[in-house]
Amino acid sequence: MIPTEDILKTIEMIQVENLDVRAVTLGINLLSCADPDSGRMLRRVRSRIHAAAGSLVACCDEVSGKYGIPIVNKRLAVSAASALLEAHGADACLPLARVLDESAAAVGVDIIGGYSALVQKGFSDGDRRLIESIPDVLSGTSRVCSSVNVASTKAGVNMDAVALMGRQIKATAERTAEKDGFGAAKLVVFANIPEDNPFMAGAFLGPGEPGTVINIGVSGPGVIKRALEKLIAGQGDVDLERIAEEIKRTSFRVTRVGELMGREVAERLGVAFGVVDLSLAPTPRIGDSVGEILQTMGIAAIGAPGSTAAVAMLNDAVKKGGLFASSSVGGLSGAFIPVCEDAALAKAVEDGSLSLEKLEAMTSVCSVGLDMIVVPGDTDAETLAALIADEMAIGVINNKTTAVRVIPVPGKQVGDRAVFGGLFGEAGIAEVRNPGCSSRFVAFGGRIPAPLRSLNN
Amino acid sequence: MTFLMSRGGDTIKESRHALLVWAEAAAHLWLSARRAITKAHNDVVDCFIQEGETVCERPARYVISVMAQDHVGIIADVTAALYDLGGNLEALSQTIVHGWFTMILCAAFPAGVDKNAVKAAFESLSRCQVLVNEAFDAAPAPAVAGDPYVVTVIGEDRPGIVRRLTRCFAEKGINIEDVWNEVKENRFVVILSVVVPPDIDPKDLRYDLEQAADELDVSLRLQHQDVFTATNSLAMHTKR
Repeated sequence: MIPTEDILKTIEMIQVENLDVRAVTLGINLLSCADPDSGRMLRRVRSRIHAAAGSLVACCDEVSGKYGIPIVNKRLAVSAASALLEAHGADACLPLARVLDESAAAVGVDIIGGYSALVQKGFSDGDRRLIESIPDVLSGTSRVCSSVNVASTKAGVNMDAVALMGRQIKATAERTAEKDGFGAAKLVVFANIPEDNPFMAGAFLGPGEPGTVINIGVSGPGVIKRALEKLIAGQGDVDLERIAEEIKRTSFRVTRVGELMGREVAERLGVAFGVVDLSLAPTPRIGDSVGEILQTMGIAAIGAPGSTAAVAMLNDAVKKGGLFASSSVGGLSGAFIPVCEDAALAKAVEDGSLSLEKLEAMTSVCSVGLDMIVVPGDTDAETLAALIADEMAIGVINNKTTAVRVIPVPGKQVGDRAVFGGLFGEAGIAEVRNPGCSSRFVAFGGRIPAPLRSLNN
Repeated sequence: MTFLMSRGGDTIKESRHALLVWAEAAAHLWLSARRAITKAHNDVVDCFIQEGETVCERPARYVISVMAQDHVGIIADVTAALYDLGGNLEALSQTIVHGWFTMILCAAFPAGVDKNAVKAAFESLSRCQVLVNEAFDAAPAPAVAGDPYVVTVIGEDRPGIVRRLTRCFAEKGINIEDVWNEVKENRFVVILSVVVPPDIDPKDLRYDLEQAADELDVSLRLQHQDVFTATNSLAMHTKR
């Protein structure tokens, strides 16, 4: 028998620390569905998704039953939908999104990502149609998520796309004003978008990936937080090296569970196994928060000096432990700081200790960017675009993925709250300082050239 | 192995011819014995020649359980007794529960060492209660084929918890391969290593066990053993 202490340690992680597999995402390449006849294209998309994903949920439930560990989210990520729209007019966009929405529902999946376009160097016709349709699509469907890559380290920042996305975010929020602009919570703007990210809303199946593939998102931050609490309570004299070591050990265990179960799901479905994404993805539930990890590490007010260093150490230790545990790590693999989805971060923003500027600084050392931040509804599109440009610059210069998912909540101001419910959570409106002061910069358009890769200072 | 040669006759040394006859006979017997040894090598058959006959006899292999109040030197005493009997240790597992030392071992002895001799030797040296059984010729097949699962039960201590759960396993034909149980400050923990046959759906088994656990007011988990292997070792899967 395995040593009883080891069994009890794992049991404690499951029972007390909520160890789970956060996401099993099935990537499906839809390029074979392309057809100049839109009706035929839609039928092909529907049957392709049904054939590939029909048994995903049942399979996940079986594997979850075998190991006694929950698989929280089962999702689909399709190849960038813009490719399917190349041969069609604008009138094909919403029907395609609705087929994606209905197909996800038919296979029992709550979110499908991949209404996406990659425009870091320029727009194709399909890309432009897709981006222009985003407000219609995100207000007219319930499960579809959209992402647009506007920058990369090799291409630089497409500022025309950045400006367009500022406008589309604002329009999407306004089209879903009755839900506090919830449509914008399903829209992510990326730099260096990963091809194999299993986490929503930014998941899509990128080029170079297998036709169908399972990617795994590991358990949330609650397990790490509890491990650190026990370490610090049990040994008063721990230093940061010991804390980093504990994060590594816990990340190893968490990653092993993801890899074990993900590989079995892939095997049972007869598809390729892709990657384990090590990202710590918080939920609004108390105790499942990256912010609480920072508090456990001694940052009393999240956003105070030291917050960036703490999150950098957390991010690095998670990667080190996870890399040793798995032979296939990918996706975003870092600590997420989505404000609405993390109760401690949301409270810090409401208390005023955590500002947009500090969040931006933290994103330079962790995953993934300015995420799930609610801002005043009257923030102008150019200011939103400039916010995106700043975050894209961090990703491009530092050769990492960064993203922006901000929601300008119609009719709300600092001091108000936006409530989305479920995993999307809620938060107080964050202040955007100096609004309206970046429009000239954004209006130049064109492209910020790809950066120098030497003289790194 | 005992290999004896005796031709019992003074005349053997009386002439060169007789010596050659003796040598030829000896060589013949040696070859016969070698053939017997080679033929039965895999069965660990012991061969010897006695009074002109080739005799084959199995060595004795016993499974022995030893129980004693725990004290320093039990294993040293037992293995010394085993050595004195010409025995060879093949497998051993030992644990201590509530101050009582218990050990089960398998050992091979020269032919002719009987169970009573082993029992007497062990008991005299280490104040032990000893039980000796003949070992199977070869390692027996597992009682039940299937997948290894771990059942953990945690709750407030009360009589009958293990009885109720193990009855459930017995009725379903599920073999328990290992059990660990501890009660600390009235908190009861039992971990069972079981083999679930392929015709039993773990989902149904979990449902039944959870029903039993609800009646007993304890928390119970049934999980494939690979979860514990993957999270606690460098291997991803349990070796069977």
